[in-house]
Amino acid sequence: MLLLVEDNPSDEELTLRSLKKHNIANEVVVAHDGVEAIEFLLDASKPLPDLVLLDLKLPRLGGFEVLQRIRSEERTRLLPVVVLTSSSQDEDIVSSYRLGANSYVRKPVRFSDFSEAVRQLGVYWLLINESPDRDKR
Amino acid sequence: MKPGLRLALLVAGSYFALSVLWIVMSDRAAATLSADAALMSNVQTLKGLGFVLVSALLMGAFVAWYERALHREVVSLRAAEQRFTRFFDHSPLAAWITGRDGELGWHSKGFQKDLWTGANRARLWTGIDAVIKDKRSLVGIVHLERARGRDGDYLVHRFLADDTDDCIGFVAVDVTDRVLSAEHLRSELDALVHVVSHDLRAPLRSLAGFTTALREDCGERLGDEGSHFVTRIQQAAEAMSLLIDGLLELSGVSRQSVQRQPVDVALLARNEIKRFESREQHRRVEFKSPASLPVTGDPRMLSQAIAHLIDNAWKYTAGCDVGRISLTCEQSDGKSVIVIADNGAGFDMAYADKLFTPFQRLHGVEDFPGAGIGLAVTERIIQRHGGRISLESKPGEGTTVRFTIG
Repeated sequence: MLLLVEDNPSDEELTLRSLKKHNIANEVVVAHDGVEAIEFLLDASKPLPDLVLLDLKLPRLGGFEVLQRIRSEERTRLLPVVVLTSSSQDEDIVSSYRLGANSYVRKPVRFSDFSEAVRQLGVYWLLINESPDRDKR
Repeated sequence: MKPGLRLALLVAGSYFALSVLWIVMSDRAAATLSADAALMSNVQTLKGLGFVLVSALLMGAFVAWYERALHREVVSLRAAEQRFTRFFDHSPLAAWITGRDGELGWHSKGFQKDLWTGANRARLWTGIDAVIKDKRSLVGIVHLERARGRDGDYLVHRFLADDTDDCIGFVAVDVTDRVLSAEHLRSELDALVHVVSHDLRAPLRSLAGFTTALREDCGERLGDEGSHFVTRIQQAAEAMSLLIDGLLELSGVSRQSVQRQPVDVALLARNEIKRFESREQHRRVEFKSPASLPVTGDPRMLSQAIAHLIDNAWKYTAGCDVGRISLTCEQSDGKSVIVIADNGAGFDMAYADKLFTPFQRLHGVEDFPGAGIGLAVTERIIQRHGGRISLESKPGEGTTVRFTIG
């Protein structure tokens, strides 16, 4: 399962479309702001996703704060988080890694590039990558 | 010899010589006139009196002349000092002079004691050895704490106030407002760049994404004409995306600071050429460069500049059977000039003044793609390094770029 944290409905639709087209995630949960994302991740009754795709500019709780929170909670400490955002500013990239992001990807404007980026992320993080064993987290 | 001693010796010496000459000559002259001893005694007395009288007159005249000259000098010096003091007193500058020990001497009206006490004094005294020993003047912005009013940033000049090397001059001007407004401007620019970087791209992505979706899902209903319009929309979105990237790159160059390190320009150029070669394997391009071409500059900025220059050379040689790009180094006025030349399309030198203007293009986008910021970014990078850049070109024969790095 994949958690997409995205406030922009267009980006949400385009990301979901790309995932569907490439037959990647069977289940995608969308959180529309940082608070919603944290509430979902810390809800013990719900399973943890295999991957979080995190936008940086979010209403209420920003992407950096979400990242910080994810890394400080025992439950989500090792959860793979990929920052997927519009900005490619050095400060944002460095801050993301400093706060414990596993990867940083800028959303390409050209849709074929965007779609390809989403496909590669899905294939790598959900199929190729070995995630830390949930029971040991 | 001291100036006072010289004049004294001159006056005493000429007085002595003239007196001796007068005594000897007048005695001889008197002896030829008469041999009468009584008469001679009277003549001698008269002669002596006359001598004393002339000496007294001369001495009086000399002292009067000397006094007048001295007075004139003192008056003009006093006037000059008055002018300078008033000048400082009517300016918003704080100016003051200290001895080598930091003891406060003359100061202007704009000076207040808290500028030269405690932490401020220590801060302003730092590096003063360079001023005294190397006779350098130090200029810089120093943060000073004011007992009265707010603390602030001061542009301070520190220098030797005269030729005795014993007086150190300080001139300070409050630039707090300017520093604050510069910081304010910079943070506004940062905010703007962030908005451009993030918020302007998002709608563009929707535009590009949904037009693709439109073509994929509703392509049959669109028909040829409709598909053509969709392509146009996509191209426009991509062009705008390129422009945004260019804008960000341009503002990035102005915001970054230059960190100088040894950099091999030949290596940067070779890497860039390799990148193009692997991307466009059908192109035949000969690249010549020395094994290494070391300079001192900011590695990131220089690689950015070289990337743009090689990108141009590569792009504009696309029409050649064999593209030729060369990197060389020339010496001119003791400075190393780096030269990147190509045999590509070139341009008319009549438009040379527009080359460095951002988003200004000399060729159609269809012929040579790009946002038109390469040379603008490169020029700013070279300027930030204290260097110069110039281009020479002939249509159909190629372009030569020359630049120095500080």
